[in-house]
Amino acid sequence: MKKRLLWIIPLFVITITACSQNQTGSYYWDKYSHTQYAYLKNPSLETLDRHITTLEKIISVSRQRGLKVPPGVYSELAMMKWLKHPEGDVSEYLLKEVNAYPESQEFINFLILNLFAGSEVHDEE
Amino acid sequence: MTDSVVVLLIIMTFCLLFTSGCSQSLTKGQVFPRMYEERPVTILALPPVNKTTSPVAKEYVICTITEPLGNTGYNLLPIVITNEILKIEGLYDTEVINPTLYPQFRDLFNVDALLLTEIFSWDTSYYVIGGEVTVGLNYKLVSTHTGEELWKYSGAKTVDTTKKSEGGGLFGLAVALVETAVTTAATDYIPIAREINQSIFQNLPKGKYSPEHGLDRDDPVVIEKQ
Repeated sequence: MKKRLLWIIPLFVITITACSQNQTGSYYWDKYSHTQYAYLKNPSLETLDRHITTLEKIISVSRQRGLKVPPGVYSELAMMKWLKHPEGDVSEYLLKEVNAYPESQEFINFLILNLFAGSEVHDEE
Repeated sequence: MTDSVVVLLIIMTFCLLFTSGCSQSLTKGQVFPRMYEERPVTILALPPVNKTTSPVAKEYVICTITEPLGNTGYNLLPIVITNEILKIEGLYDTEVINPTLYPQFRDLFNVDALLLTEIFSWDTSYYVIGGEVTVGLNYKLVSTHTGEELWKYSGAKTVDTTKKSEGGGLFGLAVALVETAVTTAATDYIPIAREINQSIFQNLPKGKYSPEHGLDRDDPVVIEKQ
């Protein structure tokens, strides 16, 4: 009896899997929503720094875990750092955004021409 | 003989569960065919239209779209940056952005689709001995290439913020009422809004950067009661 019922287990697993919800994504987000809200609601050096810290942590943890950095994180970090130090060079982050998401090339070029000073960033393939 | 009957009953039960419980819903491919025809890659989320009286709803929604929509596999342009661009262009607080402008998003930013958001409910309610918070969102994805609607969905969630009366009598009840009011007023809307967005975007076909891209056509769509 017990041996005959052993093959019921994989059938049970298949059925439950078929009824299960879609899987969530595999990006790491840390406290992204909270620190972004805090900055939008109350823009200050303190809330800006906290959101920068979150973005940097997303990038570092993603690298450690072998995950892709979520879309927009590199360019958002570039924007936040530029807000804090407008004279600084944020091209490193813009290049990484284009490398990770080549479809963002036109958007990044728009940012460079209209917000950030500097030369164009091209996807290196 | 008895073993065979038990096994047969178990098999029939699983078959009923599999066929009736899991495959009666419409599929993503059936409900959103244009998503699989156009296969948009890059999305720009326009500022939400706030149909409620809540002054905080817009920022909460803005900050809770990125994670669930990004997780669906689309190249979502950073909302903080795109909102700043729209503010400069005088388009942040407009109720509806003229559809004739949609192709400009494609030409300037290589955007394939625009996400249109409407907040139809953001209410804190108090009743005799309790409180609750209700958040409701409508979404629509529109092609910048054709102007056609590719996907739409809406969802709402109510959270009970009632604090139970732990003390006895009228004093205990008064304390509970005050705590409920404080709890409701101080409710962290972010997890609530994020959860609603997560459940809504599960019905969105997976984008290019998802391992399930193009493979979820037969996934069921949860049809919400209106």
